[in-house]
Amino acid sequence: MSDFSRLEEKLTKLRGRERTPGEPRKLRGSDAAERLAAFVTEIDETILPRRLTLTVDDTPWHFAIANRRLQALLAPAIGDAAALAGKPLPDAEDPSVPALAKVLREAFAGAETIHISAVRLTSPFPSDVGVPAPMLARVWNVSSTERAEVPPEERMRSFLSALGRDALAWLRIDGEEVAEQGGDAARVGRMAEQAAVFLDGYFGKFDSLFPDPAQSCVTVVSPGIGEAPSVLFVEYGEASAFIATPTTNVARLAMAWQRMVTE
Amino acid sequence: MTVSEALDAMRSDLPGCSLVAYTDLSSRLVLSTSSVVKPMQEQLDALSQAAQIALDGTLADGAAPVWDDEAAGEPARTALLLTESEARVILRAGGTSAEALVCVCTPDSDLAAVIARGQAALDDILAAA
Repeated sequence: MSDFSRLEEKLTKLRGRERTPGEPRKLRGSDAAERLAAFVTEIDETILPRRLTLTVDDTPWHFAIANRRLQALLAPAIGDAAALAGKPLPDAEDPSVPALAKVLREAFAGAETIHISAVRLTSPFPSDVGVPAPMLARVWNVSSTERAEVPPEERMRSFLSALGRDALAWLRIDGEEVAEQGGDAARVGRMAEQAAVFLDGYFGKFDSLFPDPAQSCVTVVSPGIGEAPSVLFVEYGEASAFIATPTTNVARLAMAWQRMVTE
Repeated sequence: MTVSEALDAMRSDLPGCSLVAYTDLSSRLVLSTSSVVKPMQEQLDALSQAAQIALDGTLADGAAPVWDDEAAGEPARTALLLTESEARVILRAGGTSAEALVCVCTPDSDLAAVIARGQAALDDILAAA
């Protein structure tokens, strides 16, 4: 049994408890066009039938997505969108396709935040019904559906490799596995058990610590004493890291990670 | 300076700070607030609960083994809870006090500045007590 097997077993259990179907995350983009493009990207990456929900500020919009196609806006919908809800989109030429873009652009334009979540859907439509994402991008006149994002594990590796002496020790965690370790060997040896205890409390109280649907990305707990070690837990998607760092560094490192994941 | 005045002064000094709350960790009650928009009671309850978990609850218990001899036996005094949409900075009001200050600000806030300003506000509050 490796040094990390106990931590990994615990992570498997805890991650299972943390992640629930339909967990929301933020839709990228700062204006209506970018948000519409990000929505098309989500459609392009969805193969199995899903009920995809965009929560635009407090208003939910539900969609049937399958086979990388937008199949329909689902009821209930409000305002001008109500007339479009529940009707399958037969092809890109149908007038409801640009009409849907219009109401979405209007909703996205004034929104402060948009969260996206997806749950399994027993689709009421055949899999060939709907408008494929590339065609949707063309009709909706959004620039690209290419995801230029750096994978979470690459961001994490880059962040950890730049830490140098700012960290006393760290464990990089991909999903439920400890993928890499760094820093003082004696401290690293103790960290698996320490991380298991910390993450037990973290995941156990996750909903109370982060009650709003935005994705958590940094958690720091510190004794607030000069060079005494503090805990810095950073995460992004499936990538996370448990870091011990001198208290004097925690604010700077937390900000650096925050910038890295929100840029 | 009253608690309320100290919280108002802190908030006005920090760009992007929307809410500062002074809370009792043991009872999980918010004692005083300063905010841009009057907060819902549910929001205050959630803030004080998160502060309690982070400084006196399971999160603090889980972090303490990492602190080594230098801070062995010391309570958690600072916690940061950051999401894509906000940053919450939680500071214990000195020593082993059961009171804490919670600051809610934008995610791009200068956290070191928020911590320093929060500690100054706590000094003002404790000096007036």
